[in-house]
Amino acid sequence: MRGLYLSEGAMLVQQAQLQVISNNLANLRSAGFKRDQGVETSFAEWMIYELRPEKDAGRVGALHPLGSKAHNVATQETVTSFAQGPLEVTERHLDFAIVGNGFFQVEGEEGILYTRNGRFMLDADGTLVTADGYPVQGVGGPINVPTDEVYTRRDGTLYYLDENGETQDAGQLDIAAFGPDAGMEKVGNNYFATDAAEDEEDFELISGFLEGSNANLPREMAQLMKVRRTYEAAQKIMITYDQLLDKAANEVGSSV
Amino acid sequence: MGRSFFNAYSGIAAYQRSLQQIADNLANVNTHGYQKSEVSFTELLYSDLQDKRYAVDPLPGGLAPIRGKGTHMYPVTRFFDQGPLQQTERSLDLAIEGDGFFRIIREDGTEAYTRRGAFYVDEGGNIVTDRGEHLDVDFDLDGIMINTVIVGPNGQVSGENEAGVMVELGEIELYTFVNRGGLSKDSAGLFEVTEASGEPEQGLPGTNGLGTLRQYHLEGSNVDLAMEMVHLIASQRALQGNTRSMITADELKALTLLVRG
Repeated sequence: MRGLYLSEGAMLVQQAQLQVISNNLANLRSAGFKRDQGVETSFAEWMIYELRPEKDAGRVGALHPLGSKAHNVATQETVTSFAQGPLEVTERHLDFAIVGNGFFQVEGEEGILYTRNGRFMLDADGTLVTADGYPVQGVGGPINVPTDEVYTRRDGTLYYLDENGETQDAGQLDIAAFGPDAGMEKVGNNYFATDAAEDEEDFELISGFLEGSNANLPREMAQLMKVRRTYEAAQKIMITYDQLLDKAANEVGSSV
Repeated sequence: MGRSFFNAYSGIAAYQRSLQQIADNLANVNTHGYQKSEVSFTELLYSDLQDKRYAVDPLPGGLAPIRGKGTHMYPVTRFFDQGPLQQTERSLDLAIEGDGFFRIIREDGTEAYTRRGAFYVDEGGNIVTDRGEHLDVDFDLDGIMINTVIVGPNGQVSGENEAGVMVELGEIELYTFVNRGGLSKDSAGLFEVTEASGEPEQGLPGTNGLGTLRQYHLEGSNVDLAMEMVHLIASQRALQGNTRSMITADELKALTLLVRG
């Protein structure tokens, strides 16, 4: 009977994979989106031994190994790929993209959140905010500008031209970078949260561009096909088990 | 598996909305004073796979496997970059070179803002839009020969009266906002003040970043055809990809049912 549950386990894991892939596909055009990949693992493997009572009569503890066997399959983790997404030109002054390692810091309702989505806007007070209204953090606090025609230097400093056409500094975007072990947790709306200490920044900031989603169609399509066929294979195993059980139940001992 | 359907559905709905916005922009590629808009998307909240009966076996100390819930739309982003100036032969065609807006008084007395500068004169000599709404100025063109009207870059309006004498009439003021992106658009394409936009700041053209007026010109649409085509392709392919994932979710369901076909 175990085979039935094994094939069921395999089917459930593929369903979970499809949920991850369909979420990647739904976010193909979400700026700053980072794709997930489900990683499958087998349950802990067990050694299987055979007892041979006749041959080993009188010997204590004689076991003959037959090999190992895993009892099922499960999803181990969903790994988020932080690979750079494509740069998409928008020509909008308040669209920013980070090239390299780093995140924009914004002040969420429950503390600092990190994002790679650089589509910002101004609120009625001229404070730079995200589409959710969270203030974007500059070095030394939120950034205020009197106009939405803001220009950007590669280190994240912002400036605008005043009435006399002179350059006025408007603060610097505070970019935070983390190492690969920071355990960045997805909290929705393309924000990440982490308690890890900041790592060294290595980035270039450009405006007039957004970083597109790093989910791309061909890869997700290939994953989709893989899920489809793996699921089908597990389904075939389940059907085979069903047929075996059918024979055992209805044909063994039958006189016909 | 139901989650996969809804993920795909959210994607299909999102990219359909995106295609509608692109169609809207393309339809207005020749509309004077039109500002293009763009929809943008973001992910929804995540939940733990474990909570949904899926077998998980996380690494010690690792993050629990998660599943997303698809995509949703942010409010539309309007682009206020300058459209190209196009020459016309009407004295009351005015284009703004800069960030300002004209203020319009609607029939019910409320105020609205626009960059569409094609104006006309009604029977009472008032300067009006093509829909008959008044431009907010404290003078009129009663008894002025329309073809002789001169509008200076700084908003001064003058014209010849019936006696053929050039007279100073008044000024056209412009308005600006801290956050133009927060303006809302009514069904006639006029902008309205919202909490997000802040209150308008008033001034003469040529001051305070309001921009200058250019007579005998209209501001063309700021829709960039090539960029819309890129968005069209990307949104259409994304839509197809999400259709594919919906079909796959359906196929998995069919395969499950076929176990005891």
